[in-house]
Amino acid sequence: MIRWFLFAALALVGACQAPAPSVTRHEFLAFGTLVSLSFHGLDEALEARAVRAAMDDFEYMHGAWHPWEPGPLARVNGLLPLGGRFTYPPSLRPLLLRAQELSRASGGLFDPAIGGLVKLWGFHQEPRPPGPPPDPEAIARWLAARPSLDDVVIDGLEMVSTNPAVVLDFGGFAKGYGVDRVIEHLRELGVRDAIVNAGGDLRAIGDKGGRPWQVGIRDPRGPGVLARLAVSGDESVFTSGDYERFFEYQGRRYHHILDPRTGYPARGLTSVTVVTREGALADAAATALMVAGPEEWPRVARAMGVEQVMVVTEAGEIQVTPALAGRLQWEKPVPEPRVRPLP
Amino acid sequence: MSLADGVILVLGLALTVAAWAAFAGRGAGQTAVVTAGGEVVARLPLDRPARLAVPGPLGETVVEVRDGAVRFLSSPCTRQICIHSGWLREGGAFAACLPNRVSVRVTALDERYDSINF
Amino acid sequence: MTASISESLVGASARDRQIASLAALAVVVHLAESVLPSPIPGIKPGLANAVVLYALLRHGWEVAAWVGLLRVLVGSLLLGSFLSPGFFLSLGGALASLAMLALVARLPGVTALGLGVAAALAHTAGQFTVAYLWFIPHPGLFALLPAFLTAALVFGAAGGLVVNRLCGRG
Repeated sequence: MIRWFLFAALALVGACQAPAPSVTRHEFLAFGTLVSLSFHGLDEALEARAVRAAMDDFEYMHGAWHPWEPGPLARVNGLLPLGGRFTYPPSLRPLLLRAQELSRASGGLFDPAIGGLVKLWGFHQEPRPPGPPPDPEAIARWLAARPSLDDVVIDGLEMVSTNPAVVLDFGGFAKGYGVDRVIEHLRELGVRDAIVNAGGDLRAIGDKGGRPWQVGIRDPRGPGVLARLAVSGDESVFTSGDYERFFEYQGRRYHHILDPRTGYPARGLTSVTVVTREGALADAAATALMVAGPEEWPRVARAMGVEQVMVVTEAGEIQVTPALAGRLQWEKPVPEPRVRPLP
Repeated sequence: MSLADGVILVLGLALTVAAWAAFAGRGAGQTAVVTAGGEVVARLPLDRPARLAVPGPLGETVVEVRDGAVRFLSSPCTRQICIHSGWLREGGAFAACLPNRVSVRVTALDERYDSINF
Repeated sequence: MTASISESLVGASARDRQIASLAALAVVVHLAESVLPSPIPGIKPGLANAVVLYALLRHGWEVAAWVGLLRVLVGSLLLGSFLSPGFFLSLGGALASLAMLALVARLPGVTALGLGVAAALAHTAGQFTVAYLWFIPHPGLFALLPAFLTAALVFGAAGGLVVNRLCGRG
């Protein structure tokens, strides 16, 4: 008798289980790239509001932070070389302060003050104006001036630059910072589970009804997905690579991640993938580690406080930190990745 | 083995063979979702060869489906990054021609990935 | 045989003990199987089904039904997958195969071989039905069917042959 009762009780409990959830996706062009939003378990009205909010936010940020097109940042860049104290648009303050923190932590490898160098190489415009790489003399002159974010002093709502060569360009972490702001806005609207993906760099919050989000990391060396990562709670996955923006001239390829120490594109690594909670940190770290190169990257990762990193060297070797190695599921047959513990 | 066993075995075999004939090698029902200017303009099944001309601000981008995969065949953009993305095959794979505002994404029966990082 | 104290207190009949011991065996086999790597996730040899077959031939359908269902329930509780999608797939498969066994067991001359094949194919059909109705309502799901049916055919026959041997009919 008792076995029947038990069985019936369990069957009833089981019958109350809701069917498996579905993920809805929205894609639009914004922020200079393709933005993809994924939601789970949202009612239609809230989802429409969330998409609208994300579109508006990205639109605004793209305009406000463009280093050259008319807008708040372009005005700041116009005033900095004059050397005097001036009041900067307050909306830029959190961006500036966070950039300062990250730049210091990276030891200057991530440095948003190198806008002048970016322009020399032509990467300030998309698509890049055609032409050869800059003259070595022009690069040498820029290196001699050696502008850095340390040359900018922020005092309340005023700022001043002690180096006329400083031009602010937040491209190295703007996507991450922007994704963070959109995630914040979605949370304020009451969205618990979502992925905000801006041109391949993403932050995922919550999960799919208890099951983690499945993120595929594309193979930087060829087609297809290299590894799968289950993500939940609140995590960002950002990748910087030498294949994203580049030009070729006389058989050589020049990419857009410039090394402030040499004035030339960083050498040694094809891509860097960083997994951490904050998008701005992930983006800045991915940039800084690309510059750091195949030998130094673990040291810089430790300095910036990121523990989950995967890099692919120009030779095609995959290196992973221990914290990330256990989480990646390889989707392609790869030679055993080299595990590099952080100092 | 008795007669009854034999009959069951034969029926089971027939069922399995029929399943292979009906369902195997179907590309698992994948489709290529093509968007222009952010709106979905086409869903092309990957098991049927097709070519689609998608209009955009710069001109026409042509998307091709062949042998279970999809790719950008031609596009009026200067950098041709979309073309260089090559054939897209797995669920979740996507590429885009940003200047002409055309994107292509491959769906799969269980959407193996919720998002792709690159 | 004198009744033990536990018997008089709990009221466990001989049948209950048969069910319990066979179910325990089935669960153990199920757990051992869950550790095996599989080329396609979800396809397992289904060795635990052989225990259900054995129960059917020796103790009848009712005992076999208890063994089969307890195997799914206890197995999922032990693996921590109770009420997960995998649990419902297993349950659907188990119910379908038990129903098939009830029908096929009536055929004159049928042995564990035929029963095993029929039950295994029904198990697969049950799993796919649950999967299609509940989790993956997409016709593309059936692209996996041929491989699963083939495995069911092979492992069902193998399990059936083993049970035949054990029951002295091989």
